[in-house]
Amino acid sequence: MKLSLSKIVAVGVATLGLAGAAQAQNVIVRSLDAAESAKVRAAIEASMQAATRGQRIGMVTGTVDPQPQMSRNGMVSQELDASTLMFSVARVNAEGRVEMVCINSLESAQAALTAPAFAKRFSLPSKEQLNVSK
Amino acid sequence: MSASKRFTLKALASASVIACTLGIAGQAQAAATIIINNINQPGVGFNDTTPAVPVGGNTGTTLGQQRLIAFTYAANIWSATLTSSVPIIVNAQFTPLTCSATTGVLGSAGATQIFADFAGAQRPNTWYAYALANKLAGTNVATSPSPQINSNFNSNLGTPGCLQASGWYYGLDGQEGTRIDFVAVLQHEMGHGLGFQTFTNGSTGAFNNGRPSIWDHFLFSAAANKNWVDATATERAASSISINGLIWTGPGVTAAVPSVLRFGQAAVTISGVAAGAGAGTYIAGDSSFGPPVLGTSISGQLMPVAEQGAGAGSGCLPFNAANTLAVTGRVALVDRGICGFAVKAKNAQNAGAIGVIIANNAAGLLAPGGGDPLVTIPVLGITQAQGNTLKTALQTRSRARSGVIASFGVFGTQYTGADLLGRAQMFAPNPFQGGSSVSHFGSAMFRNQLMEPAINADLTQSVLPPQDMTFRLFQDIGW
Repeated sequence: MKLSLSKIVAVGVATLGLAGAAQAQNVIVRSLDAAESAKVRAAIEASMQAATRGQRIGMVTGTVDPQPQMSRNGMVSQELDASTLMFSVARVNAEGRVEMVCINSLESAQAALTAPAFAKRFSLPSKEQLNVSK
Repeated sequence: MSASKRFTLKALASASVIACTLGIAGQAQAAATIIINNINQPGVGFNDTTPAVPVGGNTGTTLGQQRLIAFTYAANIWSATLTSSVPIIVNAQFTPLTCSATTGVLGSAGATQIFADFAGAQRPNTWYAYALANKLAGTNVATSPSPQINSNFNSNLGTPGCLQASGWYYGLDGQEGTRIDFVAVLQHEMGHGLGFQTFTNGSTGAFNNGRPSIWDHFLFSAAANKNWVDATATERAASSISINGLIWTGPGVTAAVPSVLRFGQAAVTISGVAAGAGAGTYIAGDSSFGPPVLGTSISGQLMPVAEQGAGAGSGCLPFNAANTLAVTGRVALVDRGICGFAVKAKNAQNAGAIGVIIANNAAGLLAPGGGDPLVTIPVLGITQAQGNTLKTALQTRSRARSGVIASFGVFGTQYTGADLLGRAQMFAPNPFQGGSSVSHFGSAMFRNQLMEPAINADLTQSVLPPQDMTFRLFQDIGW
């Protein structure tokens, strides 16, 4: 994907001395130009739509069912599709509280939303097992 | 430069400084540049000009500004923690996502490409997430470079028909109340995009196109006594549903366990001249509010709280003079029922109690949930039977003295969320839970971790010990 950008909107940089050591942080925010951002959004959206149909379309190039590619130097790369994304989903439970869980794959996320309740996410008798507010 | 743009610069710099002061001194030498690509169209998402009231340290005055400031803030936490000479580029947008009045997709994030056998790879024939591969190679490894992470969050959250009462909280202070803390959600999802994820199928055990992920060198099947990289697909799949048998063996996380996870379970020890048959140690349930019980905690005379009127519920009303006299400077014993646990705790605290024990009104141990950030005394739950035992011991009390001492502490010989050898447990419930299994820390951990499957309300924004082990896992895989 072309990464030349039309403008840098803002740069958030903080440099602080903490415990005698300089600490630099850099987060740069930039806006792609309209055409470029539309292209990126379209690629992501196409991959998302494909994932809902059980199909795999790469999030970057739109390649159908992207497979590993080997370079001449022996490096192997693979473009990922939206089915590999991690999703945060929320629901208001029977007590009126919001529960949030992280789920890998759009299909699983949508299944969680239509289920009567989130599957309990505990693996030992734990704080979550009987954690109710009333 | 327009006034709004000047504002944006100032506000983003402010978000950076606040993040920088967040106790990240443990990574004083860390430095990674994160580039946020705002891919929203004009007027929407990060560019939404709807007026907004500054909240929780976020000084933005439009919805778009607040989103960008909060995103920058979360990115800055990672920027200050990770080290890479290659900028980490994140495509970011807010768009309408699946939503209803009671459920919704909050957002998503993930790596755009994965790589194996690149110059600098620490393990051969092994998949690495794009950003980590770049870090290890010291250059952008891709022949077709792209941003390393895609992210997308729900722009409709909090609007009519879309979890309206639980919209995004864009404050930077973790005081989200009943709303959803955007910073916490983004921190978590960005963590996955940076490499907190195996690309091996946990359900089938199949490697991605025949290659293990870097995670698989540290995921350990207790039953097979093998790391995933050496196990069969059947063994990997079995360990994904082994409940307590999927272990992380990386040295960074293992070394962090003692400083992050509690050694033992919360417990109440009962003693005193009037304790009688009630004397002993009771395993207790942790509360989701008030200070956690991490070791020796409060100790004081235990006093029951009388119901102030039939059906009013134990501790549900501001304490009257008799209950106030009973609990001031002491530990209050209340029954579950009628009102929320946090209400009971707050009333007891306002009356001067130093701690609260809530007895269940049904079978089983009770872990009092809910929340109230103003509760500053520890709260633990016990079983109904234990509560009855204590009430029997308290029958000989005076109005302000019981002779029964309740001491909060921990009991046991295992870190909460680790195996007997002190190694962190990963999330492996049975049945397999689509997508949540494997690529998260086990949810039994106490204290709660950023990368547990549930995004809990008591996270601190830190990704370092003694609060959190996320960065230690990242170090194990090469960050």
